[in-house]
Amino acid sequence: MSEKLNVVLTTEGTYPYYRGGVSTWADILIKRLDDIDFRILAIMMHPYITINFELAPNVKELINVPLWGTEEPTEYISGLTFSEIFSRKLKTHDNTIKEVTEIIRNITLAIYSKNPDIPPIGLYLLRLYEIFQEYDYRTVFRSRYMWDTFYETTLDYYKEREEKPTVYDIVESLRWIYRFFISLLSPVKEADIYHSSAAAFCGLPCIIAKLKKGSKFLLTEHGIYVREQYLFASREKMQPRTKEFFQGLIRLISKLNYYYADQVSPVCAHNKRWEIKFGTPESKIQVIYNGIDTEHYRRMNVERPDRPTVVMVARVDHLKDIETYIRTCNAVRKKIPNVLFKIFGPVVEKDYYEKCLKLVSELNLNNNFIFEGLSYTPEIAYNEGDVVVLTSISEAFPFAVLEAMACEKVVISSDVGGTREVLEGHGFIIKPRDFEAFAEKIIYVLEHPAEAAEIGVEARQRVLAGFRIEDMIKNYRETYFRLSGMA
Amino acid sequence: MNKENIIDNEEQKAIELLKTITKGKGKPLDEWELTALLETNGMRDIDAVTEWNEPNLFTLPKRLMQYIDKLTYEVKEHKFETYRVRRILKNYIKGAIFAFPMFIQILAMIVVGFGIWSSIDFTLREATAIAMGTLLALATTGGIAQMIGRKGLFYIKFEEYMLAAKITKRLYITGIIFILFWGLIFSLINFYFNLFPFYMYQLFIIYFILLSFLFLIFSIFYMLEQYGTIAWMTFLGIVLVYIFLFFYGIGLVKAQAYSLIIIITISIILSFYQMRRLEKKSQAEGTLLPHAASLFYTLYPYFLYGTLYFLFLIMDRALAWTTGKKYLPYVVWFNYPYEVGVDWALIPLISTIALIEVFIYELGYFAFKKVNEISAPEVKKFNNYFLRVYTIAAITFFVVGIVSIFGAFLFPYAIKDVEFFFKFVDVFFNDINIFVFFFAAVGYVLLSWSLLNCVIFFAYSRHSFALKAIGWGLIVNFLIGFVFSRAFDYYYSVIGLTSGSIVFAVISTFYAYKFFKNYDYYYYSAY
Repeated sequence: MSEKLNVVLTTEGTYPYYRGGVSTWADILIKRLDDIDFRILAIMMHPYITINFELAPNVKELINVPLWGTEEPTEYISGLTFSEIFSRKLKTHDNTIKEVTEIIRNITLAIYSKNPDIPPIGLYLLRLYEIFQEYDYRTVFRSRYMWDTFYETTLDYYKEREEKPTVYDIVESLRWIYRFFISLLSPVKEADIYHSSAAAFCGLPCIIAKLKKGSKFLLTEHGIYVREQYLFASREKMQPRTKEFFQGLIRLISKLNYYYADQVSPVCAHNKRWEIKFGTPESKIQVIYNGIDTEHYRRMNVERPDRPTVVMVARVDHLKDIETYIRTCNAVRKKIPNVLFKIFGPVVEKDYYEKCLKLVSELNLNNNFIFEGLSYTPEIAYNEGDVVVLTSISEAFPFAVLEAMACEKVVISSDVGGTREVLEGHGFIIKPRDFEAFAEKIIYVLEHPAEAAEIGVEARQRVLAGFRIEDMIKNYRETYFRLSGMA
Repeated sequence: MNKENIIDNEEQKAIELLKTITKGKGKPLDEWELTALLETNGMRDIDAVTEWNEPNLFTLPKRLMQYIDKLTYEVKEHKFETYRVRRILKNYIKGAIFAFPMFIQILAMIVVGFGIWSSIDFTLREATAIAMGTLLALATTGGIAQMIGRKGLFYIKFEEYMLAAKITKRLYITGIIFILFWGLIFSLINFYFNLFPFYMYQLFIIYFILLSFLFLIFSIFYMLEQYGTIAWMTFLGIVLVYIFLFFYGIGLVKAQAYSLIIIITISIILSFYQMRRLEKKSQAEGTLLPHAASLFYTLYPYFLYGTLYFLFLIMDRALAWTTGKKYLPYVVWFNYPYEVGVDWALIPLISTIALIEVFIYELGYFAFKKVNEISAPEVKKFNNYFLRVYTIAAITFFVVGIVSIFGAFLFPYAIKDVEFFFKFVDVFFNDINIFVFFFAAVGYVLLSWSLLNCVIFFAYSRHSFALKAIGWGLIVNFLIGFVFSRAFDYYYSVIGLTSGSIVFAVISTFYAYKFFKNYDYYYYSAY
């Protein structure tokens, strides 16, 4: 192994293909840690996306692992020749099929179990990985034996229960296993650290590397994967038995990640709750806050409206609760008629946007409320406001709060996620959806500019004291070297 | 407040909360889901304490779970075309349009006496060279056309229009190289073995290249499911030949060649314009195709099938035209009655091929419905249902097949009195082509049925069933056709076509029966 530290960063549906919080974090991490060699293992829902970030010179390899959108799971695994694909298929016989099927049967039982025994599942995954470095994945999963065994196992589980699955439930469940476990196929390379960006399927290669190569496994959680996937299943209105399997699978994968990770690092202490509930020992959890560029986000003199202005930088979607922001505007206007509320952010839920427009119109706020759309210069947007608001009903650790604080703005945010951890004592925290409380604080801030300026200065100091990119990088560097034993 | 009232209030409060957090969602299954829903509705641990007297948000769901069945929840709705007759008719028309260009060509032959690459006025030398060009063009492009259809549609299904366009262009270029390669090989063979004199070789190579280009570009329209464009192009081609012949007075070969060049050019422009539009409406951003080895692995069954299919289609003609019992000045010698007979038999093929579209749609429709409805322990019910659907399809197919064979047979008799319009209808009334017609018509109906089976196999990624069935069919087609044409007379090669089709149909039906008997398994493993 070279003297340089080697890190494999595994992502799922984010870096370097999609823009967003996790991708920005990964990009900063890699570019700032330029003395460390990185490989990126990107789990993608499908392969039809182009890179959205310029990869840094210290990124030595990008390994793509698309789960859907392929006819052969090996389609995007580089270096495989036609003869290799073909010979893998030819030598895949009954013994391999039986061995894999037995493993899948045990994993299925663990999926349905409320308290699965995690260590054996890790070893099963390792065995699957080893088998599929030699034999054909698709042939095994498409075998009759696999289907019959899975069918029987599922029916057996429901034997004593009144509600039974449909044929579709079983089809979908086994297909999920087939698709999701494609994340096990890519050959695991030697590295000091395997760093997963979620407690998700992108953690599986990290588990394999730990068991097979003795690499250390660092898990960063930006949100809570299991929670997000539960919400996805809920939104999708999955059939109950399909959902039961899906949720069980996600729970199992998260638990595996938490169990095998050498360190679990949520981006805020608030998220520890879920991690602990899912079996992570508290001693293994070490919060590493995300940091922002405080040179970029600072107080600036910008062209701004000549009237009291409230700003929110957020996507237009229901989780940001723009309706509360609009109602707050209505309440503030009663006291300060010329107040102007602005929202900077792209529309991601069109129906919701329409609903918000209607509300603006119903409350007759056309002169007080503006949808500005996506801003490519949020630092200017923050500086346009006398006060910055965030009305979200769900967040992990919002960058918007940090950025606005760094711009010396008074931030009034709903009490969600880890917001309290940075804002408490340096801004105002409001119960979600309580537009009257929001309005009250906004009026107060607008009417007390001197006090607001003081709070703003303190807010920036708070950010400078531990929420800068430099702090985040320092924390990760220390963690990498400590875990690898090179400290 | 008495205890009962407190309980009632709690129930009401819990139900109200459940209502709020599950709005627009499915029924929550466990406490984790409720916690997640509570959190994303802005509830905090502190709210669980103050409003519900619970330690945190993870304990509150236990209370809510008791009331979970008091509400009804949204379920995912699937949109289907519910009017069966309209649905079937729509798909039958779509299927018929797919086969319509063939019909236009046949009709043109009996109305004006020529098509885009056929004419009753060709000398036998010309007809031989052109027929060879046509058959080899079909065999050469069949495989590539299947690959374009498969991979292009695969990406369109995923709304990956950019990749659909990219792979289509790539396969199209590969197809052109392939055509030129085979053109060169055929030229060298002719040069080396001196099979045809230069004039015939010239005709052969012109038609081979032009028709290969035409079939290749038409495969893009098939992939885009723009069957109407193909029909229009065919019609335009015939009109152009007519104009060149009768308004400009240039020779037939030149008229057809110019017409082909024009419709190929228009088709290239149109198809590339369509692909440009695809790229523009692309919501996807992807440009990365699978690596070549994998692409080859996933596409070779389609290439093989396409090639075998067109070899199957041309085998009987090739055998008939190479039978040297009578007059055989060259290694291949065209024969009109035979050609008319097999072309005539295309009418039942067209009528039945349209049913494929109907059945495939119905299968998809009912599969999705039943797989969601039927409880897993009753899997036999599921499979039996589809065995019944398949049986109904078989009966429908053969009834339509038999009716269309007799309909097609009577068709020339019905129109022969309208001689001022169908001037060339007399070509049908000949003992040999009636013999050929009946055997070929039976063969084509069975072929059409076998094609349906193969479309199902390919849709469910069971390539081997299709390849085995068509492979054995082709072997029998060749062996019987060869023996009969050499033992009796050239046109007995049509019995090879019929026998090959019977074998193709029997083997593919055997696999289809096995398929539907275990439909749950094949449904699952369709990826």
